[in-house]
Amino acid sequence: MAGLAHALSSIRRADSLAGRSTLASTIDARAKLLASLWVVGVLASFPSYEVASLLPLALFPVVLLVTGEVPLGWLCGRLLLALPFVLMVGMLNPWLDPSPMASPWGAPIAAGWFSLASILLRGLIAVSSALLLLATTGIIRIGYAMSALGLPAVLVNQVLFLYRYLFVVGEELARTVQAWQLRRAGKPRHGVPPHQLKLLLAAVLARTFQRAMRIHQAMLARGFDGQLRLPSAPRWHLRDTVFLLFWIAFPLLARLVDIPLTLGRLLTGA
Amino acid sequence: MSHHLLQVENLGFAYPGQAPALDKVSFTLHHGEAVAVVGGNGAGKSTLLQLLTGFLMPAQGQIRVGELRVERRTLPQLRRTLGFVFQNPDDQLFMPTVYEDVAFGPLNLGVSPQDIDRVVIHALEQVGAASLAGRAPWELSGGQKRAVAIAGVLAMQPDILILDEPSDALDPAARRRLIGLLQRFEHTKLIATHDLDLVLDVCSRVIVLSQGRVLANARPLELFSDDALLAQASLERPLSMQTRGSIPNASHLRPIREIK
Repeated sequence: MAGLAHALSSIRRADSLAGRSTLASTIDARAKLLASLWVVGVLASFPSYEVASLLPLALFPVVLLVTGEVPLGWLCGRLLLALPFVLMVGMLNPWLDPSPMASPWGAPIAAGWFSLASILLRGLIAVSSALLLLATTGIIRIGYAMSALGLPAVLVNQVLFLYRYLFVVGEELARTVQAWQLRRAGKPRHGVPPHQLKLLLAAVLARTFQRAMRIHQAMLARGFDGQLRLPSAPRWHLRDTVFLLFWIAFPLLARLVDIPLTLGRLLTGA
Repeated sequence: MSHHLLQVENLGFAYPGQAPALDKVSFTLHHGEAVAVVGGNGAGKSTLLQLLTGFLMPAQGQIRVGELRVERRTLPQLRRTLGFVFQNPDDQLFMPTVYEDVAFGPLNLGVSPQDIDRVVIHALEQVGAASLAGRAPWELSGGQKRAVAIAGVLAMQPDILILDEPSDALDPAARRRLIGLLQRFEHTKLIATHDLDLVLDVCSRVIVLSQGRVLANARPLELFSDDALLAQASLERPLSMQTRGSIPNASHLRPIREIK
């Protein structure tokens, strides 16, 4: 279970990264949130076999990574965790969609390979954008931005609690499984037997529920009334407007014009 | 009437289908007093704290904080007066940084963003944790977490501090710092604990609970000398009041470096 504890702690590192003073952290959370949603929205609107024309949108996470001074290793580690889920969505496409399609190297291949590559690229750009938004903004400021953009407090609190309880469940699960492993009495290691798994999960859920209740009580004891308040209310600057306008215009341009193809033609004179 | 006065009258509470967790509990905390609530496991300490802070409502009797009776409708006002430090600081600290966590309570109470910096820094300085302001709470040691959790409550400027097992899971040095901290606070304090040595250092009065009833309400030294009463409450004398017959004469002991 050290693996789970380590995974939780590295996700939690996003909050520490967001607390640093970087160029990306000075951009208003509302601008970053809207830009991220727009990029992901435009990404989803591309036809299903597009691959090369999606590439310009990877600039968004690259800019956040560089201006947010986020370690590339941290991002790659988290992307590896998300990769199986992205793969699961499109892994059967090459067999389900065998109609031939011309490939860049001439020989036709199954169209499903293109849609699989497209899903992978979209997934990686979307997940890295979300992770980098978290690592350059922090969940509390994202929640505040959601609230400032008019989302109901109930919904914002759901997001914040969900994020907090992710760690509560993870910590309780890590503790419970560690306790089970220590009392395995030297039996060979091949996972938790099904009849014990049921009891183990029930214990984790019961403990998680109790702990979640205590956390909620601690919030109530400190006057929480459902509304999130920040020590310093963020102010909108000109740079936020420029950032938002650029990241609305650029994905739109990438959607309307095939930038890699146009650049290729310009460079080769074709 | 002072908001520092806490009166518990004939308090009773039972969890569904169980024997009463508290039965006819009465006591009063006066302005500036530091009172300990002690007792064995299941004596009713946690239930009492849950009732005092309004997370549970009494089945009988009443709790008054100054002029206010503890009821659902008075909870927002009461939470300005009663500061509750939870047993496990991990349950209490949930904001991304120590600064934001300490600011959470005062902001909810309406402290303006202009004043929040002064309030937060003052609270952190009171517990000697000003240097931790920018750190993430989950990165801190147990003692630091405890100090920050107390700062989060102090920042709300409560009249009465209620602490649940404040020395739980602290190393001796962190525990000693906590005792110094509690001795310096001028707040009215109610401390539920098993750490009877901490009680000797901090509290002027002790309430002993046993099976949901008040068994004794007296000064620490008098109470901790009564072995029969302590045994009845599943307690024993504080370590500093115990004699250790089995420790060999110190002159026979050699420093560890010499043994090596």
